[in-house]
Amino acid sequence: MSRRARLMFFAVAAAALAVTLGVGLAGLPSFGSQVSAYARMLNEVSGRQRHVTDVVSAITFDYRGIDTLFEEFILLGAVTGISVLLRPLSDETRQLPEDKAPDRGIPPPSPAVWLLAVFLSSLLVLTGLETVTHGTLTPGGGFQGGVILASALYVVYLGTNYRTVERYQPDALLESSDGVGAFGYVFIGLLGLMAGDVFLTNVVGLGVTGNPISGGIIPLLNLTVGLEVAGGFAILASEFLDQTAVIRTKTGPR
Amino acid sequence: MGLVSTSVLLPISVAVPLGGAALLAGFSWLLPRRARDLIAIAVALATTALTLSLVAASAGHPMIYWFSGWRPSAGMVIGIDYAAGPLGAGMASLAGVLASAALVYSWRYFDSARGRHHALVLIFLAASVDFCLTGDLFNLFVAFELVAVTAFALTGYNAGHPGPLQGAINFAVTNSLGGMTVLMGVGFLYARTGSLNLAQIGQALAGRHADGLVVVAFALLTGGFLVKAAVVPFHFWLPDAYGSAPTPVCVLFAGVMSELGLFAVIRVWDTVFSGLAGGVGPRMRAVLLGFGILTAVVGAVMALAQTHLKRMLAFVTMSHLGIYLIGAGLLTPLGLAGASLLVIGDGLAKSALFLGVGVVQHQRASVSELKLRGQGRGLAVTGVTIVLGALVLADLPPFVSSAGHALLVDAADEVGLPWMELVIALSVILSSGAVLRAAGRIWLGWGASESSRPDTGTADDPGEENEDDGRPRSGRRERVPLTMVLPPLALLAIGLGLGLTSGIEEHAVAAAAAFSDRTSYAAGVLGTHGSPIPPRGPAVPASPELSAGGVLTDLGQVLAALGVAALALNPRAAGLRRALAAGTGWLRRLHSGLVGDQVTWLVAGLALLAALGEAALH
Repeated sequence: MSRRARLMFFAVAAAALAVTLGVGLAGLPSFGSQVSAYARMLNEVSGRQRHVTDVVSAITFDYRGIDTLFEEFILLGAVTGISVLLRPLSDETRQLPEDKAPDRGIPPPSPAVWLLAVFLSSLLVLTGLETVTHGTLTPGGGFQGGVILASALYVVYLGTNYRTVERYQPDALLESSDGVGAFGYVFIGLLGLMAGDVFLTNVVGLGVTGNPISGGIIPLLNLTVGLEVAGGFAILASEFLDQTAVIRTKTGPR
Repeated sequence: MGLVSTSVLLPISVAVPLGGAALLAGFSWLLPRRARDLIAIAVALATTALTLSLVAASAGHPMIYWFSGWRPSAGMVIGIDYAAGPLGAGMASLAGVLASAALVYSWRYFDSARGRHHALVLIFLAASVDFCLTGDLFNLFVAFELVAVTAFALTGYNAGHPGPLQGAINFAVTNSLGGMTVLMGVGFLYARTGSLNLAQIGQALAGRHADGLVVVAFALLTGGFLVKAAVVPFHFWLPDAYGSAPTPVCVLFAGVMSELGLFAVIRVWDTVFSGLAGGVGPRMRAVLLGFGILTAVVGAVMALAQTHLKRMLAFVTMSHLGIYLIGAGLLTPLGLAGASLLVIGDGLAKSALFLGVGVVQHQRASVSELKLRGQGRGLAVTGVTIVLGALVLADLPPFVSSAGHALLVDAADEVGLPWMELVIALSVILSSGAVLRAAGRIWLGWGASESSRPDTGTADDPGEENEDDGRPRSGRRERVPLTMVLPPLALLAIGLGLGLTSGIEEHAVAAAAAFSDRTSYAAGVLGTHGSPIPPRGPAVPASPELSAGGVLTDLGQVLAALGVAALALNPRAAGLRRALAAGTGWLRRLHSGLVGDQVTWLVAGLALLAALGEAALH
């Protein structure tokens, strides 16, 4: 198709699709008019049945926990896929960035930046752990907290230079954290089977509503997801940084 | 106790591949290469065994499993269920068999990715199993996305080259759009029915007349799934993705992924929409058959026009998918049973073909039919594999595809569409003829040499793509490793074994009848009756004389495919070939490989589907 023909064709098709979607949208219940029976019921029973104050947590990790298991693996698959796609290919080499003047070292980062990074990263670690562990009480949990934890590592990257990051970066630890976190969810599911019940059944006490350790297996699942997400996002950053800073085609920079 | 122990199979069938994938992704740095390969193969084989035992365990009555123990209370579904019957479990075990074959074949293949490639294959497998077993619409979407995410990355494995990169990008763009339409469809149905459970949504819609919202939800869900199934006009991404993915990945795509899209269309139709009031079945049959016929014929014609072997097989895959859609789209248990046996038999054969082409590519560093002319010497076993695979695709008895074909033809007769047999025969003859032509050129050196075909190098047929498959190539005439030669033969042997299994047609018909019975499915899931559903007495079709007629038809198809190949290679038929090439030029030009074109067709297809859905459902 020529550019013009494609545009014309697309315009007609998109208009028809827009009409279709319009018809669908017109059939929706009007905004704020009603909550579905499913949502209404879960709002009512989750506090009583699961001792949580954050209903979303109970839905994602308990009532619909198997969905979340697969969603965790979407993340694992995406991270694994990206590290496969960004691996050094046969026509590429790893080459650390170097100053072109051989008699001059790489300048150290400014103390102000360094200090800020130390301060910020410790704050981020704290916030991350808080978010991971309080998923049953307040909005948050493993997915959100894991991203915050990983961003602590990003700040460390900012506060130092790339050679140091390359030398000290715990690649194996990050990968293990990614894998252990994902495996942990499966394992907690299997605990239900080992207890003679079904997969992902709650096998521990529900605790006191409002207490950080409450909601049965939900805090445990949040921990494994937090591990997986923190490791995964840290791997992502390191893969992308590698791709821009270290991996070179054998003939020159990309 | 018996019931408890078999129901455990359901969660274990996904927990095993997921757990294996997590360990491989997390600890590949710790494991030696051989251990990574062995673990991945062992996990895939274990998943195959688990899903195969599910086929046996769920025959007769569907197995329902409520995760976290949340059974429906007061008629309201709270949790997520698996609702497994032999059809879904059979599809899952096909995924297991093909993943195992792909992993054995890629023994030490993907070394530069450490264990991460294997982890992706196992996640793909787990997602496929979840897709086949789940009884929840949102969970179906999650599985759809997980299959897609792993598939994008696997396609782009050779991303250092422009072809695979472009193929993966086209695939990712179109299939992400497909995923979004599915999600919107889920949202519309949830807004209407307040449920995400297939059975409960179906009950809420049953006996009612479809309004605009339901029609749109149908179009969005079905359209999204048809993108994955690569049905015309949603198919344009398929040759780009299949043509550029590594061989073992093609096996998973051709044998599992497209079929999953179709599986979802039928599962959602049967459980959710089939109960709508107003005799929607026959009109929907016409819609689905239309898409099926178009896909079968376009795929076959395009296959014949290819000289890039992987792209040829991609179009062969597509053509056969159209045939499955014809079978499933008849919306009768007999048609679905025929399509299911074809999915199994053809899936095994297509995978064997891809693996055979992979051997040729590995040994001769080319996938161009023209460049490989006469280069087959020394690869006799692979040549036999490819010819046999092509003949099985033409329904050579007694392979299991032949049984499926017979059922499908009976099913078309049953609803008064005897001419459907001709459409199927035409597609099968052309697409198998294309593969046989390539085999004749490569192994017998027949046909014209390269110069007479000026059309290589167009967007439609990119000619040679020198892929980096991660394998060391020491010398061009090295021995082919047994791990590459045996898997395709094993797949063909399975197809033969199943074809010789007596009573497989009856099993398939019973499974399809259970699959498409909406009311007993809903009753089983929602627990509205106490006892398991009594085994239905399905009308078993295959009478001896019909089978004999079927065998003759199948042999006719096989001979005709050979005839097409011979005609395509005969120097005296050059004029005919030129005329055909000129006549189909417009169709080949439509397959431009431009992602903008592909998205435009997708949008047009969705609008068309909505219009047809309105006509059929309203």
